[in-house]
Amino acid sequence: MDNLIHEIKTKIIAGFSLEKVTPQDIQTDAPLFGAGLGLDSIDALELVSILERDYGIVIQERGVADKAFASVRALAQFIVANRQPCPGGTQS
Amino acid sequence: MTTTAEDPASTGGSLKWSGRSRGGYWGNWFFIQLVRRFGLRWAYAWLVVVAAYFTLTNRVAYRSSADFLDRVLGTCSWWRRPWRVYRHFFSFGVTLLDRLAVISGKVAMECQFDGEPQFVEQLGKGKGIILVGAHLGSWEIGGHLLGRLGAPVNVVVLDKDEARLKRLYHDALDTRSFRFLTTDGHPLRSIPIAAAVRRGEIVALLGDRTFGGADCAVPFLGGSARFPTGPFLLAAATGAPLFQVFAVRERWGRYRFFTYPAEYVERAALRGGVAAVAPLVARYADRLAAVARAYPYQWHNYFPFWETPSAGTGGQGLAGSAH
Repeated sequence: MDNLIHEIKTKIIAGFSLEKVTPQDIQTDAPLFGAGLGLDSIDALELVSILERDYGIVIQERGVADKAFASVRALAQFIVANRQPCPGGTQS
Repeated sequence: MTTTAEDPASTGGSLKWSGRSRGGYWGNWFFIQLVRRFGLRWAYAWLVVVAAYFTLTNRVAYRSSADFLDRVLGTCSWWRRPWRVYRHFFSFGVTLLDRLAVISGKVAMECQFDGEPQFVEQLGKGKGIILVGAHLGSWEIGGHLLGRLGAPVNVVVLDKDEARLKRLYHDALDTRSFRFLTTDGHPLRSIPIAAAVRRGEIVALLGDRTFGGADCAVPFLGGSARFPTGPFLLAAATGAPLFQVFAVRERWGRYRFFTYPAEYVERAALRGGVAAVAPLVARYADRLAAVARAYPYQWHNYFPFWETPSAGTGGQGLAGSAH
């Protein structure tokens, strides 16, 4: 789980060009959207496509997104529970 | 005019649309009954009174209408202004009644559908399309027409309006693949909207109202007005074609739906900030201005639309102050 949490943080930093941020700067339990990290709606779409590409998880509903993106830890748990074998994805 | 009207803030001054649409279940009911029992003609007759009432009492709508009409038609003498505003409100009432008539299934509107092949082509390939309309003419009647394309239609509306619209469209929602997606300014709102486009569906938005999301100010009818950037970012994120569409009333019982050519937005625009989308927003505003000039009385934004009111209008008038 800790590996996955670190991996997610790295992907968020790379995907959203947060150059000055290190994985240690992102709090594992802080909200990703709204307060906390303060990602915007474009980041939300980006995150959805990362999940689709790397973990084979498709999110289409707002309710699902609310739960999955509550924090990095929530996202890690969501991935563990829902990940599909995905040939192109990184398996950790 | 009565109650389905999207109502500006009741007190003047604020530049932002209040986000409130006057509820008015009974007003709707009254007009629905009127249309059902006596026909559209009798319902129109009531507008003579209702439009006069609004001209006399709704100061913000009066000023906004007078400001808009001065911009598109030129200024006019003080005694003509109330009549122009009255005509404007009457025309809004006609649009609302036509919509009720169509929803109630009582009256069929003849509707010319220009540009249908462009949509059919895209949807036939299993690709979604983004339609960006405006509060001009009747987007609802346009939306009804889209049902025949066969793809599910998603209309993006404000959270607060969803319940009201669902009630109004109750019958239509039962029979058609017509859905409302809500937007409330939260970053995650974009997920179901983009998902609908990716599923190959139709997503319709209104491009002339900011919802507290990202927007930018562009020149519009001699002033500067703010428009949302969201529709263009959605096109960038999904790669789907964006069409600027209008549904205008041509005459009694007849509407025309038309579209501008497909636009594709580069994915890079997502990270380009306001500068990347401002030209697209400006083009949207230019086309909107052209259609507003052609159909001035069908412009239905009755709140202070511009960042600064135009010089020399009267915001004063019958409803504003004793002239």
